[in-house]
Amino acid sequence: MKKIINKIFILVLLAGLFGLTACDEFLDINTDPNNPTEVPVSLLLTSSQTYLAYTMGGDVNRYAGTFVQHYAGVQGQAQEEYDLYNFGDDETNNFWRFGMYAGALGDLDLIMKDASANGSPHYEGVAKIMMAFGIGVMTDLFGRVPYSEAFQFTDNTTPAYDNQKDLYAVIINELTVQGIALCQESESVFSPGADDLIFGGDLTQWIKFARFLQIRYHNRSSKQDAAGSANAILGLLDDNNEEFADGTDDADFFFFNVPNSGNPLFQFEQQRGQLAVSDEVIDRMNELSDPRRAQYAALNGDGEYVGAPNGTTVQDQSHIAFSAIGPYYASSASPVTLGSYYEQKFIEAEAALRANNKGRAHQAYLAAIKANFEKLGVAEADYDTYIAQAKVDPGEANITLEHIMTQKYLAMFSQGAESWTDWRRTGIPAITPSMGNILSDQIPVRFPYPESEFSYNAGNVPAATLTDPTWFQDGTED
Amino acid sequence: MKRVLFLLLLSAFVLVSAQAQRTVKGTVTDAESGGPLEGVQVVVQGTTVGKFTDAGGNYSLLVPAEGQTLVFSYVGKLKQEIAINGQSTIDVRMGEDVLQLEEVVVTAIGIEREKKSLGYAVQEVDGEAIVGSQEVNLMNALSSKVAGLQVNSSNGMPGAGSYILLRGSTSFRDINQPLIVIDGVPIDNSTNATGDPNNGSRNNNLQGVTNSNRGIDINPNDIAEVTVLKGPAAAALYGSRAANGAIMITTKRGGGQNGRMKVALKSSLGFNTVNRLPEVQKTYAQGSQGVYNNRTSLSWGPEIAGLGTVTNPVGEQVTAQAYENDFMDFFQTGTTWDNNVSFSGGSEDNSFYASLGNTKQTGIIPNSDFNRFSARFNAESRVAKKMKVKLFTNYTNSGGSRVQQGSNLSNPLFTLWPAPATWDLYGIPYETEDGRMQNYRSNFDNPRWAVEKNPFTDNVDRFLGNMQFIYEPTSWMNIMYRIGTDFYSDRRKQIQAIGSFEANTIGRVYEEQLNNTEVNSDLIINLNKDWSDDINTSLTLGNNVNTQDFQSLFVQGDGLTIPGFYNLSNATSIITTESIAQLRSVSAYFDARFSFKNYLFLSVTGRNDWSSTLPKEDRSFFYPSVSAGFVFTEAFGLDQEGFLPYGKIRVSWAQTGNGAPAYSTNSVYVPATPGDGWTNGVLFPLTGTIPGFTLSSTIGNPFLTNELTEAFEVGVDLKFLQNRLGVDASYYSQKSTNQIFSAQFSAASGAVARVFQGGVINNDGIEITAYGSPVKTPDFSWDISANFTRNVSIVESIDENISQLPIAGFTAPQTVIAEGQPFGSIFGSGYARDEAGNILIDDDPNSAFYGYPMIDLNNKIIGNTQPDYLANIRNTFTYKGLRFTALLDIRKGGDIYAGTTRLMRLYGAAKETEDRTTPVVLDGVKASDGGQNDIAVPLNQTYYQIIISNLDEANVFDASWVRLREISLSYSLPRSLMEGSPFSELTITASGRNLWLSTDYPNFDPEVSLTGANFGQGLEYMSPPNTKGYTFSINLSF
Repeated sequence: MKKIINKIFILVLLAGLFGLTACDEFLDINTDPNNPTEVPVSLLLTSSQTYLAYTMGGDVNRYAGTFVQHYAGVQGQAQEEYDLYNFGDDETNNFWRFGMYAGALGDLDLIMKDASANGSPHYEGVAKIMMAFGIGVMTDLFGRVPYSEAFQFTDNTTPAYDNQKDLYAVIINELTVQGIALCQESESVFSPGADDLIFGGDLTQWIKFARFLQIRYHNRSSKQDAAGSANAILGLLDDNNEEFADGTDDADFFFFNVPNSGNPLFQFEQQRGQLAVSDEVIDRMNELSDPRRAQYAALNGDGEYVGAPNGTTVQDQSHIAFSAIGPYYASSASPVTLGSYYEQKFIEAEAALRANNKGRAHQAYLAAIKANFEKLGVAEADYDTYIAQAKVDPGEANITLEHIMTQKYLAMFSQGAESWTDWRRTGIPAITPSMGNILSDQIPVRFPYPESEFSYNAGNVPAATLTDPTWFQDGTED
Repeated sequence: MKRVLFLLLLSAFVLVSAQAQRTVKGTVTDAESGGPLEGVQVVVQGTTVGKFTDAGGNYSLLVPAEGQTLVFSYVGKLKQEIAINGQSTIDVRMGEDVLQLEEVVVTAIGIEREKKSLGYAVQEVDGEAIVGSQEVNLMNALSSKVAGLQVNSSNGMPGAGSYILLRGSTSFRDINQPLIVIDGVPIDNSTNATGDPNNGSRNNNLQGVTNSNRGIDINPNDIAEVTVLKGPAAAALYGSRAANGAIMITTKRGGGQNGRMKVALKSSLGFNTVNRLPEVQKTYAQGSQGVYNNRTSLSWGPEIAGLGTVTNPVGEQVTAQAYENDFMDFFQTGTTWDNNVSFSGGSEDNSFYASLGNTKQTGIIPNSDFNRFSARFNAESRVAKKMKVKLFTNYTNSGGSRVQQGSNLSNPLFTLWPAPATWDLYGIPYETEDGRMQNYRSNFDNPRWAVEKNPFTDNVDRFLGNMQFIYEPTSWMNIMYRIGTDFYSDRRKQIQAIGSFEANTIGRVYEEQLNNTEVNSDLIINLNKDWSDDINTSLTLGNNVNTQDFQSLFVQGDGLTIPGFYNLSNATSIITTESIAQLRSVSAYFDARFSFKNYLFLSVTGRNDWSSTLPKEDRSFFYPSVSAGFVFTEAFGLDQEGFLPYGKIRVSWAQTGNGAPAYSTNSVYVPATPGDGWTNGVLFPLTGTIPGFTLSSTIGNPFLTNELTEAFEVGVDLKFLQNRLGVDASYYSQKSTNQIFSAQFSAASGAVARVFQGGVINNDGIEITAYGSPVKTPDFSWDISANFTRNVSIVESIDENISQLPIAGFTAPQTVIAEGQPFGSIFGSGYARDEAGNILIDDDPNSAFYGYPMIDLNNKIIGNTQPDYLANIRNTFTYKGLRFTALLDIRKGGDIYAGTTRLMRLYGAAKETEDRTTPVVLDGVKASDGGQNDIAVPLNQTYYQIIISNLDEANVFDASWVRLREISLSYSLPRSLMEGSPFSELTITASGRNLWLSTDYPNFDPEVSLTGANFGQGLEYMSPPNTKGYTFSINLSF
């Protein structure tokens, strides 16, 4: 019997030793069972588009849209921080990282690499055009940003910052050009389809969008090269290649009226309720009896359209005193617009005016307003009434940049980034800094670089602050 | 496998031995009283033959042929070794072990060793002190009882988790709590976050409910003793998880009672109330800028007195008045019922302990409760002459109902704490006749609705158990095989009624299923050799295999259709997350010990781990330890009756390695989660149908190697004057390097974070335990014991590109690990200051903030959460059967972010906002010229709402406290009265917990944690308050 016990212990000892020898197999369990290590590019495309749209309609639009006074803060962060320009490096930290560089832009870069490797130029082309849009937005907001050394993971953990001027050149001459060429390739192993939530896989649309971006970014040089930029824009519009031809070409990302799939501005208003429409917008609309008003704003508690003054100390989360943002922009299924035919027409008007072609400017200006009305579903008769007002249509001879940019300001409502960029470029409309702001009465002209870059890329991040103009404003980078 | 075990047991039972034997018998008496001693263990040295003495102190033993010496041992008595020398009767008088030289403690791997021989610090807490604390959670029961141990309870809710730290934090990851070991087997003490795992535990910990740390599943009544192994040297044999020390729990067992069974009953009833409520102003009404407004949550309105008729928040015309009792109406008296029964008994060969325990606790907030049922069965049996089998089993069912807390729109306290005085929260039903919420604050739940409509329940079933086979083939060798398991299932359900804001008013129900299984196998061989009377060596060889398997399944349904029906089938949108984490390790270790003349002790250990979480080529790592103890009083022959009868110096050095978190060597793709921190964002698959994947925000590191903590420790243990006075002091210095942590890098590199390796944390500290007995007579004694803890941690480095890592909290403020700072600093917005550190005052007469402090736009370190020191003193007076004890707990220093105070100031509800008109010159210098500020301004709405609420620094406070943690009076009936009755013991106790608190921290008890029991300590934000309580208990044995 004793022998049996001894034997058993020998067995246990052997088991222990076996444990050691079989150790490797026993320990080879460190492959993540929860997440895939590879995914098809189609899944990355949907992801990148949604990140891009959520960021453009969310943080970026709220911040820039408040600075440019589409909105005014009536509660919490929107009231105490964005609207008083009490706007530190923590505000941009989320979207810079999760929305853009490690979100939309990071996914786009992976699509480019993967699509190039697996012979799918159509995906690569779409990704390049979206990258042109995305990196364009980033430099518009911040000035110099990383691009040429970005997306290299641990091979370069501290990417250098590229000049805004150079990035505009990359957008116009490289990304959009290459994107168009790739989309025009006849062979592609994989091509976007339903996974493309912007154009449903229609490559012609992507090509039009690329040319729209070229036009938009030529116009960034309006101050640095007034004539050259105008000529380039008109040249692109007049060549045989297609740009946006009407509102059906618009680059819209439609969110959904389904839980957890709603528009970011809708979500912010539903969950936080911190923004109201600014009186800068409402007063202008009220003055002109603007028929778009019901889409822009909701009635306040007294049944009126009342805009909130920027810097108001009244807390109005329930939107009793001031008008909430209207249904076209702040419904669950509202689109986030990345580029539109009406914007293209406004740019044409501006460029034509710079090129001293008032006739073309006037025509494009009216076409832009009309396209915007159509987009919002306003009846044509209302458009006719609206433009009959001299303040809207002063006639071909009297049209000025003031008219164009003021109407563009209204039409670009809730496209905060682009509208703020227009204002920074032209100073139109003249808006006054919010009451009680903490920035010595200056409206911010640049987003602060995020805290994360000061922490992790301190050697490269520029020292520029909220009041330092970027290149397109004054010709200097910082 | 089952069959083998069965055969093993069966064969062991029928084993017989046939050697020449003789009988030795005798009587053991107590040297002090002269009476017989029952339960003395008498063992033939070098064998496993032994018996206990009976009630008359008698024993009779069959001594095997090789037996030479009998060893007599009894707790509290000096061990005696007596040579047989052919005698057949040996009578022994046992004297008191005044110096406790024989004291045996449980050390790593469950090996018992003489405390005297150890080269590192250990401290014990007996089961009585744990039960005496009247805490439901074992971790709270350890608070203020051990030098070097810091315990922080999250708040006063039933089942709230507690965070424990020994000698500071050694890791950038949330793995800084000591290892908990029960009867030799490690168990899980995690505090699992609640909510969609995709949000990350950091975000989930800011909201949801206060979760339990899983150590709460242990019934304190089952604990015989807790031994705290304070440093890496003490716990070195536990390997990877020992860097933070270990808490070794020994549960009760039977035995030594010669077959008599003892039944012990314990019953207690406790009452708990809020121990501190915030102070509020009742002068000003709801409103802003002095104007009444029924739509705001601010109390910056006009004076209530004379305001007259106003429209209240629900639209009724009422006369404005200050309602006094919102807090008192909301909170209630909680109760704790604790009932236990245990059965124990046995003889020298077989013993058992069986217990049933039930704790029912109701909270100070309605609809919060915690229940625990536990059943334990411990048994051991000498199944053969040379073979023992031990069994430890425990089943626990625990859980309860919890209310929402933290940054959470359904947190009732979000509305309650800063409620304007003019709100009549209790005069108006919280629900309208058609079932809608009667809302006071847009976007925040009515507090009464929140506690009635949004319950969270959890239900844990847990089994802990281990089986040990101990085989002693010869006197110099024993072999032990132990296999143990800890598994639990934790089922959680959150309901959010339609209308509740946290679920966007559309209603939500989520179900969460967590399963954790840990299996631990130890094969340990002990070899022992006495080379002479003076020189002894022993060697322990061990093999350990450990597997941990954690699984979670989370299903959330949003958009409920039928009100009041809370099943996932009622949801219009479902999201599901499945997650698995598996870790395995295999280890081999040794512990070689040498002792000389019973005064010099040396120990060398080494352990090699193979970890599943490291890359294959680097998965093996080795780490050693050396420790020595020198009893100089014995070496120098100092008089045991003299001033210093006992003195020991100890010194140790140890390294412990650690593997990586599971799956940190690869990069993966995850479903995209676009969002912005202010909204819920969108979830993929979008609309439930459109898939989208993105590269995980953290990319892996295929080049990881093990982490390393290196520790040096010296200490002394001195006993003076017949042990009437004693001091045990340690100094230690620990350096933790090669940290594996995921941290951010420039997101422009394509990912937000990656897995890094590097960084250094230093912890240096002093621990002192002292005790004394100023008065000691047979009837009356006065005992004092005290502990002092000081740990200084400094984060020496993180990475060349990283100066700071987030721990917990908001974007700002948050707690961080920052280079050059103590572990756990508070980072947020601070005052703008000049170079001399003076606060800059805005002296621009055109500024809206003329006369007020300016804010630095860049966030910075604004506080340190680490206390300077912790101290506690216990005084115990015993007079015959009467015992009075009081435990005073002192914490000096350590900051906390007072988030509630910030909001109560912002809203104009805090008492300090009551004087809003008297001009005050604030401390600072004028921004324009640096001159001393002389501008007088009122501390009004502008000051509190715009300046102070944006100044995190102004809302960080020192959390020093002095509190009466425990006080109790008990009476045990004298044995003389019990004689003739069936009872052997009857004790009644009245005790108080946390009855008195003195602190400068505003409005709340600073023993609190917004994010619960994890390393994000130091934040308080709309938290539930802490409690104080009275408990009455009765213990009865027969």
